[in-house]
Amino acid sequence: MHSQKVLIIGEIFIDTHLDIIDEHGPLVRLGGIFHSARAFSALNVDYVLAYYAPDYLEDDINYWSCVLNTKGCFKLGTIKNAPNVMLVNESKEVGDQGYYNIIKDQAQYIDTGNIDQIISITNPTDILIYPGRYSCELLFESLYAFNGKIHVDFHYDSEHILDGIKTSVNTIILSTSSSQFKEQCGGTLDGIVEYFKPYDINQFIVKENRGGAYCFDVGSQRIFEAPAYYVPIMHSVGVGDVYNAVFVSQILDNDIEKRMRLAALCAAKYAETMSFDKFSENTKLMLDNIDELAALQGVRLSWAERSQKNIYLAAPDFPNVDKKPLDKLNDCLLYHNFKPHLPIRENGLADGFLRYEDELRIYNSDIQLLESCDLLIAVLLYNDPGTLVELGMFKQSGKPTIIYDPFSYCENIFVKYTPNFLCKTLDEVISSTYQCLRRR
Amino acid sequence: MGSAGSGKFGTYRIGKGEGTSGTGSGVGRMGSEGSGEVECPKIIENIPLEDVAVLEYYQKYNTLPSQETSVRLRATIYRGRLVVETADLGEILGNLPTQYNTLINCIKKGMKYSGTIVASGITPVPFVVVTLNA
Repeated sequence: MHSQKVLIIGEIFIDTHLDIIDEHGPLVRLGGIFHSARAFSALNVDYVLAYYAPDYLEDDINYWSCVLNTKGCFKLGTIKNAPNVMLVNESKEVGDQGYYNIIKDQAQYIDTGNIDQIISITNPTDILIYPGRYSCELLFESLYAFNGKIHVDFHYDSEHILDGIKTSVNTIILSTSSSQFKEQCGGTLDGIVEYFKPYDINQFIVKENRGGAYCFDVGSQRIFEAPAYYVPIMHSVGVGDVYNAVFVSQILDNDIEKRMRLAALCAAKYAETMSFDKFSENTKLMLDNIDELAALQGVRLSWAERSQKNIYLAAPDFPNVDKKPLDKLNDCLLYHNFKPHLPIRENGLADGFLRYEDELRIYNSDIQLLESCDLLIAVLLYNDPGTLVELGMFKQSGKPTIIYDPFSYCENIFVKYTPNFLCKTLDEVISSTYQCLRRR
Repeated sequence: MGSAGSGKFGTYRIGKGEGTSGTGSGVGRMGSEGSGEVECPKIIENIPLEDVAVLEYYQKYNTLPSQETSVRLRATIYRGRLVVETADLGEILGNLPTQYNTLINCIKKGMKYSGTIVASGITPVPFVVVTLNA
């Protein structure tokens, strides 16, 4: 269908989802570059795999790459002394997912393939690189003479990846989930441009998790933006890689924004299921109807905007109360770059021994904080009167409210019908937070 | 001494979809409990529609249809949103909350959603709550 052929380079893992259990135990599937492979296969775009993996996975990799209609599957190197098994503690990325690569520090990467030969045999138009702990310097030196487009996912293990690069890179792909984005690029476009100044880059795509994405085209200095689309997600592992595949494809020609919307829709469809057949069917539906679906309203709330969104966490944050759900929510909101506020920890605790004027000072400070916030989340650790009063006061301001009710205390109709969203799980709270605060 | 472990690749089967969404509380919610996948739901209960006051029906009549009135989900996107309309004349009652956008897949697969108004009124603000069935 398309003349494009993408060579995907990177590691292959066994993703082990510890929180998705079926009759066989935790769900396992091939991860790493297989996530993008699934997307290319679903989109009917030709692709080739060049991978690093332990030898014991070879038969499975060959078998499943055939199932996914690959045009070639080549081993670039083997990984010894480590299984490349990635444990995923929390599949939905409500907060930090707790990825754990078993005995990764003793892994040895031994090059066995020849990238020049693979390029010469397969003749790709694009190369999509997922750097890892294999020698990226060696790889980039080998790509010096490559005339097609190079796209690099600048991700978790990719601190020094561009050291050996001497050619231009079409796309640098960044994610707000990666430490590189936050630490080396300072979490801003200016920081990104500065960090990559020594290199010849055509465009940057920055995926901002559930808040959408933007693309900065260096030549025209233009910024393109597109939203994310809410789905009841099952997982978020590999979702960004699906986005990458759609984005670097030549589908929709030069309409960058529409392609970003398609990428977001397909990524959402990947997050919805662990079934390739279902994902593939849904992806085709998205592609067939993209002219209509491109107009669909989604969630756009940039990483930078989120840091300006103040969220009041109303809860009985008292010393003798088990506050785990509240602390976890606070951590998750911080992970997504929101600005949560815990009034008692900020303004002090009125413990009954305070003088009148000190109590009043705390009360007034809390009211001031309440008024300055954009959203209130009431965490029902129990039916605490203070929490419910704060909910009612905030509601009257016309700003959005969410109830997080992990223990099903919410029975009273005033409590039930007051918030914009009544949530039972953290995942729902995070999704609802994006819904409440998204750009209008 | 035995050991526990996962079986093998390719054993995953869809089979945990709830088939029903909604809270019954009138507050919008559509999600999967635990880790099960959500397929196209057969019924979505108690969906509070959005932007009722500024959309076609209320703008035209300054009132809203009563409980039990038949409604349906429009098969095409209107101004970026999925909308619920009256079944007889196709007049738009309100926007479906964006968390139900995933239904677009179901519609494009040929599924049709219709149902009835569960509650409606004009005070304190115009509102319509519907239940939809596939």
